[in-house]
Amino acid sequence: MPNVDASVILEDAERMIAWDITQLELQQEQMARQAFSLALQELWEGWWWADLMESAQFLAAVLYAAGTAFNAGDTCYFPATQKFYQAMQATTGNAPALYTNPPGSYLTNYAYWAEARQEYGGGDYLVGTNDTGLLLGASVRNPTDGNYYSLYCFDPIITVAGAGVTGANQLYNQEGTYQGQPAYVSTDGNYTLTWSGSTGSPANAWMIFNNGTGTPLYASLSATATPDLATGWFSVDGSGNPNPGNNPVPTVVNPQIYDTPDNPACWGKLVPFVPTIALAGDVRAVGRENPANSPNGLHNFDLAPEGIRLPGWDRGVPWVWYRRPTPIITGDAFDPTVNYSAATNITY
Amino acid sequence: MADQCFYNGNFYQCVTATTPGQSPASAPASWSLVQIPARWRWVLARLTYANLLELDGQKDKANAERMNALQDDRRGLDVMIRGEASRERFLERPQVQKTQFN
Repeated sequence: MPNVDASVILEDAERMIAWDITQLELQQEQMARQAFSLALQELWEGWWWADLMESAQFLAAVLYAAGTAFNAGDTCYFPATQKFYQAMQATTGNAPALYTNPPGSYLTNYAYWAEARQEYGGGDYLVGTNDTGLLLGASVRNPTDGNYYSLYCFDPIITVAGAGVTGANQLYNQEGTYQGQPAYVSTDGNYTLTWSGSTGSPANAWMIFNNGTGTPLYASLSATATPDLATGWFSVDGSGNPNPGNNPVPTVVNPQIYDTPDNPACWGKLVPFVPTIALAGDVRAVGRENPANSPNGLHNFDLAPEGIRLPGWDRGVPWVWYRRPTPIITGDAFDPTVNYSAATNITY
Repeated sequence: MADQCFYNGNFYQCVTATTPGQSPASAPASWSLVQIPARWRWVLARLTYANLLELDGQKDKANAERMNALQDDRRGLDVMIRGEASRERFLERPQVQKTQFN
């Protein structure tokens, strides 16, 4: 498409108004350029002129990257599955979905992520009925606040049962770490379950203590990540030596208990998500295929301050067919004494 | 700071910050020419003329010229738009929205 210099059109208009274009005053030149700018904007935005239209694919959420830190509630787009995900807890480097074989497909990494959707489903969480049996990734509605939540973590609770020292038989909650491993305290606060480390007696053992006296009661020499995985528990005396007097030894398990959806340590709130392209401009169409070339797969959109919103868009990278932004020109002539900055009205 | 200029008969938009004296001629990478399709010449000149009349306070004459620019049955803006639309198979798609946002 051939173009024409702006000066040609300016001279056309100046002749129409019967100005002597060889003797224009600065004020007239400025007025003509201002009039031209207004006319250009009117014409530019008057139609979807083919020579002003462009099309390209734009992400409708932040692209997932292993090096990016995500906070709980952040959303991302994961190309491997072409889906959108919401972080359930702070995470860096944990992909939203992991390739798993079998079944030979990507499965959501529910410990860190849940699929982000515009609407969520799931039954009400009923205390007493739903307190056990749910799996990671379960979606429930919390009747307390009406919001939906995804189960991403079991409460780090340990159950000790069957110990000869009967006071030790109760639930233990994790309370921080000790010697680089999780540390647990019994519900009544009278017993602890910790890793002894290299300086303990016995060394490198999971141990149950009477918290009040500091007396060791039981130990396991299994170097496991958590005490519920340890085996070979035996009773010990005050010096950490075997002491059958505290028998029988306990069983130590993690019953994979989760709290109600009110507990953010177990549940992540599922926030309604509308894929949004963080750009502004004059958009003619959005589609799964390039709208400039194909009528297939067009998708409704709306324009909002945060960008181009795509209600109902659930996967993939949308094509956007848009008009190049209108040049906002004031008509000022080039000034060699001025620092010019990049134009701010070009948004694509 | 400014981000556009009129230089040697054309408008340019600054795309990379300049220092004093860096013109579209001496630092072309810093500037983007505002390209104007040649087929817009007649309408654009008429609309510019109408705007000049309005700036000069001649509102009645300005309105007449504007109508001329829009409705001239051979070169007016309405004719241009109809011509463009008729070339577009896409025009009939109901999902197309005409929206603007700044």
